[in-house]
Amino acid sequence: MTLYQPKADTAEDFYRLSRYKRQIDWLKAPCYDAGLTTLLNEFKKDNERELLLELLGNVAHYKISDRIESISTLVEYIEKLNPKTTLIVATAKDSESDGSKAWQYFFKFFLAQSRQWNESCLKPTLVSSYGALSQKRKESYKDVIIFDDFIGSGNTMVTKVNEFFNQLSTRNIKPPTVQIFALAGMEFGINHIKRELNLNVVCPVSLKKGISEQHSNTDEISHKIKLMESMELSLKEHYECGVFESCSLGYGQSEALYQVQFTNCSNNVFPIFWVGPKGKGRYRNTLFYRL
Amino acid sequence: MNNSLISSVISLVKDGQLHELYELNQTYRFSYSQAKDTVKSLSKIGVLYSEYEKFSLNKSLSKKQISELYALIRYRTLRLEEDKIEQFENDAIKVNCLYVPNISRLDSALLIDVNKK
Repeated sequence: MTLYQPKADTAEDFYRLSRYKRQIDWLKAPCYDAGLTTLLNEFKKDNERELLLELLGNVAHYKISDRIESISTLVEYIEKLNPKTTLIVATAKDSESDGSKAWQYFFKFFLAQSRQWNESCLKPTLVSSYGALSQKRKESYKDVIIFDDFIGSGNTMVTKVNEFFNQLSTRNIKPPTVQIFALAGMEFGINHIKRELNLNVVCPVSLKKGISEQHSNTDEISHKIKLMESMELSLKEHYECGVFESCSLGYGQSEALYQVQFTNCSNNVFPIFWVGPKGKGRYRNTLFYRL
Repeated sequence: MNNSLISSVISLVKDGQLHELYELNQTYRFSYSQAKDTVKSLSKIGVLYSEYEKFSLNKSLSKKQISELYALIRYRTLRLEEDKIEQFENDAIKVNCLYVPNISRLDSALLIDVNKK
């Protein structure tokens, strides 16, 4: 991708990358060079760079293999349930290529080891689970695990689970015991789900908001939030990109700092790290990527 | 290691002067890691001398070093970026088409200061 790689505005900034890489281990991966150079070209003020460095230092950054290993933690809970009467359902919509489906696939490796589970207990969408739940069988399904790879504000999960119960009610299906599983999530989103749905949520990685929940001083929080909003505004004006409005501070104001290398970035993450304007002649090298 | 990157580094150092990693970014759009890793690899086989961000061509290369360098770059191809180059060509305006030039994009060395008497 050399043709699209950015030129650093100054030699000092180019070598600054080396300093950042020494300070923040995950930035050592070459795939982040172009995005980091772009951020330094876009944000030149000292206070902007201080905030950038603070946020980058707080990113919960994982490799795909680390996250697959953490599925074994979730499977430990699942193995306590009856394989014959349990469904593990991803939250994806039917037509979507979605993170929940992608990560659900890796459950197979761990479930297969117990020799009691089979493929039919995994359903890629909520819609596909209705057929299985309404099937007449010897023992009806008693437990449903609803799985998503990441919980942001929790609103989407609440909507989907409510829809799930509505659909069961419409089909006259006796509601099973539902639990929510995720690989990672925002603490406030997880609490929102627990409050709204009163269901058990299992999530091995729980994250605090990137600015609001990192400091005790309210003035400092307010100052940093305003600074971040001004940084978003400068990008919005430069790239004429509306996403900065709908996802200001991350979707649902989640202020997420979470990324699994080489995977689609969550829209709950601060948008300066992933928003890439679309259209002819418009291009931005981003730190993380999102379709 | 990408042989296009190696070839670009050789193009830069063939003048025998001392160069900086930053020049690779400005001239060939290398990322920091690409610049550092390519210079490090060429220094390892003795083709370059390098210290921190600076590097230059070893002026007394042995036959073995030249042979190693040749082996690294002989199959260089731009195939992977052909589609992007083609896109640039397609987007370009026709040779005789009238247009308002964007002077800010021109290299300052090409500009004549019209206010200068």
